[in-house]
Amino acid sequence: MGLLSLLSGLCRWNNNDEENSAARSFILSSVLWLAFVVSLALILATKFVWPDFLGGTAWLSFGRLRPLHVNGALFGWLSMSSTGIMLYILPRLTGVRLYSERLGNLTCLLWNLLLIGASITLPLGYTQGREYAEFILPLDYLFMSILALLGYNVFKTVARMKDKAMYVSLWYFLGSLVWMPFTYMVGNNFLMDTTGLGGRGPVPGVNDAMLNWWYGHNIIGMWFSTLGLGIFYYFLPVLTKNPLYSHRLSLIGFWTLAFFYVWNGQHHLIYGPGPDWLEDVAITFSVLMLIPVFAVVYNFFKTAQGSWHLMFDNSPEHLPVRFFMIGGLAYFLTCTQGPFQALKAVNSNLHLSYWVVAHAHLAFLATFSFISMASIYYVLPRLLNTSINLRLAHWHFWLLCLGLIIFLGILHTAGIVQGAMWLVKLEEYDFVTGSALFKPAVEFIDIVRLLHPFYFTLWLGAGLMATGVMLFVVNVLLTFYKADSPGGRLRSKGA
Amino acid sequence: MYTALILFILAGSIICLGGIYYKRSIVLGILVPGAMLLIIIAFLSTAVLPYMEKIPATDKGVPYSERALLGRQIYVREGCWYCHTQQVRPIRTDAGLGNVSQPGDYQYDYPHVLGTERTGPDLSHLGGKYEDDWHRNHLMNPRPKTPEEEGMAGKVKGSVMPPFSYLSREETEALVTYLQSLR
Ligand code: HEC
Ligand code: HEM
Ligand code: HEM
Repeated sequence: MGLLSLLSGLCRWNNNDEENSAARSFILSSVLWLAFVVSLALILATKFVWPDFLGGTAWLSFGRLRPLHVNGALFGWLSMSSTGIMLYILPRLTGVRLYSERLGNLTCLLWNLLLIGASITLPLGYTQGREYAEFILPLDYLFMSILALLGYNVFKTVARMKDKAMYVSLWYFLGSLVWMPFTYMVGNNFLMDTTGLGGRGPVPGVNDAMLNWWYGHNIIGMWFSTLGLGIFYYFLPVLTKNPLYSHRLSLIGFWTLAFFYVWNGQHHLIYGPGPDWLEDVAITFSVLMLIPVFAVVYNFFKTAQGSWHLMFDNSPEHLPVRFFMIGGLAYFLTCTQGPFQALKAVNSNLHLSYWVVAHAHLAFLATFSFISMASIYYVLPRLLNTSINLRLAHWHFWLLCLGLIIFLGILHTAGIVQGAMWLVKLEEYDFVTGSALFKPAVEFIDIVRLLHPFYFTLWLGAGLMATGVMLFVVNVLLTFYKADSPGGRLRSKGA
Repeated sequence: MYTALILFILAGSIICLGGIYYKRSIVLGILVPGAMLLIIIAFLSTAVLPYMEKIPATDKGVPYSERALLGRQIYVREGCWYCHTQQVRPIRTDAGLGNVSQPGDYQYDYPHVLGTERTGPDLSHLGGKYEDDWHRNHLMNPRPKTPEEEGMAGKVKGSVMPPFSYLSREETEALVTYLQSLR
């Protein structure tokens, strides 16, 4: 019943010209997708412990649900929540209304259709078979139109702005919207559909891998990071209640990121079959990434100085702060980890291991999902003119954090263990040629056996995280429900 | 090529500095295309320049048979490549896995299946390692091949590979043909 009324509410909002209604639709949809992908994640984690769990069914098999978890989390939850928050922030930074709320709502509707499409096609096995680019061609076109509509809306809004200094968040938003369509187009092999193809393609396999990782890397850097950092910079002074430490530094961060990030793609294929010079270029730029990263991190620490106690403040007003601060700290961790694992000596041990999965969740979950959650907790009471359930929010925080510590800890350790086990070799000297032959000293299956306790711990962590996240989703839905019920009132004007 | 690379980096730096020093919305019309240019420059350097390089042919880089191609599609569809890599690197970690992968090996691999995780073993040189029947049984249910073992602290489970019992007969046969063609 609740769900039905929510859906009808969503439809109502989708044809709505009310101020902030687009932001609201996006946030509501993103949260629903979050619940969906986290349930999938739990299935995946369960399958590592009990591989036969739901095993005999084609559309529930690991290889078909994994892309749905990844794409759903990235394009459903993270992209939609970031977009919603961006649409909330835009009028506040430009001083003008969003160009068209109706267009924003339409975009949201199309975006939901895209994900529904993906939720059907991916489990049925329709995939382009390249990581982060699994959506089939029709969905790619749909996504491109969505990006075009969104970009049009945002640029029209910014164009109406009176001449003012551009706050760095605006740069990040505009940048994302300029870069993302190009990145997406390259990565998804427009005009050269890979569905159902095999063998000789328009580009050789090595180049296909390079393009795939050029895209896989840049979608992270030129879309998720930039949207997330735009939001981060808006809420940094708002939540810490201090003025931004340095605008110049924030701009240095933005433009160096714009410059350096795109060169990094090949660090996903270090020692792979691609050209060596490209790997060296990618590694160099990965280390250079420390400049934009520390521009952000230094600004964060300097601005947050003196406000850390707000993290431990239990009043509703400061609820978002703890999520936000954890997000900032996790950004610092991820982005020091990144250049480190791009170094050849390190990468040769950690590449292909669970360390990378840990890095991915440290970045997407602990950093950007936390920033999104903080923003949603900040934005919702203002958009809906109600309050958030504080107790649920605190449970959400602690369960998620505890789960994350277990999950990330065990994945990082598992990665190190895997790397170490792969490294153990038996040496055989060939006395005729004088060269040494190396053979793996540990059978692969014995490494799998060794990992079972890790998988189980991972499953426990995943369970805690999923519970925490579900509490978040329930909390947000309850807030919407409260605002929509006769007792509450949806204000027509946003705060 | 290196000249092009250096020129690109110089051009990027200029745009970058421009962005840092001008922060008024008036310059939007110049800087937004500038931001676009940055990504295009990097795209040309890191995706188009490498494409210009010639790829020497190798013994492994030969066309697949009709049936193996079908099997390859199933390999892609079922997401085997999320758990299995097909690349052998020239480092100690990969020593003993077979010949180091060359660019030419992948001439007929589209979409690529290099993989990013080694939850399962590398499959670059799998062909001929087992009988066809072994693969059929393994795909049907991987557990019997790697049964539970008595460890120091009780039973230790084996493979975490999912069962692919839902594949039709032809699909399984095609997949096995593909796996055997990986030499
Ligand atoms: C969840 C991860 C996962 C997925 C998905 C997966 N595998 Fe595996 N695979 C493993 C693990 C772990 C092993 C090692 C244990 C074993 O032999 O079962 C393995 C072993 C194998 C082996 C034996 C390799 C050797 O050298 O002994 C083959 C062949 C294989 N897998 C083929 C496939 C194919 C084909 C698919 C897709 C239809 C697939 N796998 C999907 C995890 C996976
Ligand atoms: C300075 C910043 C960063 C650097 C230098 C960096 C570097 C790297 C490197 C070298 C890898 C490859 C690891 C391997 O396969 O061995 C990697 C993987 C990954 N990174 Fe980062 N990273 C950075 C920041 C981020 C951020 C901010 C995010 C997310 C928003 C992110 C998301 C990912 C993901 C998802 C992968 C896994 C890709 C895959 O194999 O599927 N990274 N990173
Ligand atoms: C309860 C929360 C979550 C759990 C338990 C979880 C679990 C998992 C698991 C088990 C995998 C597969 C790893 C493998 O194949 O070995 C995975 C992959 C992935 N997940 Fe999650 N996940 C969660 C939330 C999220 C969220 C919120 C995001 C993004 C916003 C995300 C992004 C990803 C990405 C990008 C990958 C691919 C990693 C790679 O290729 O290296 N996950 N996750």
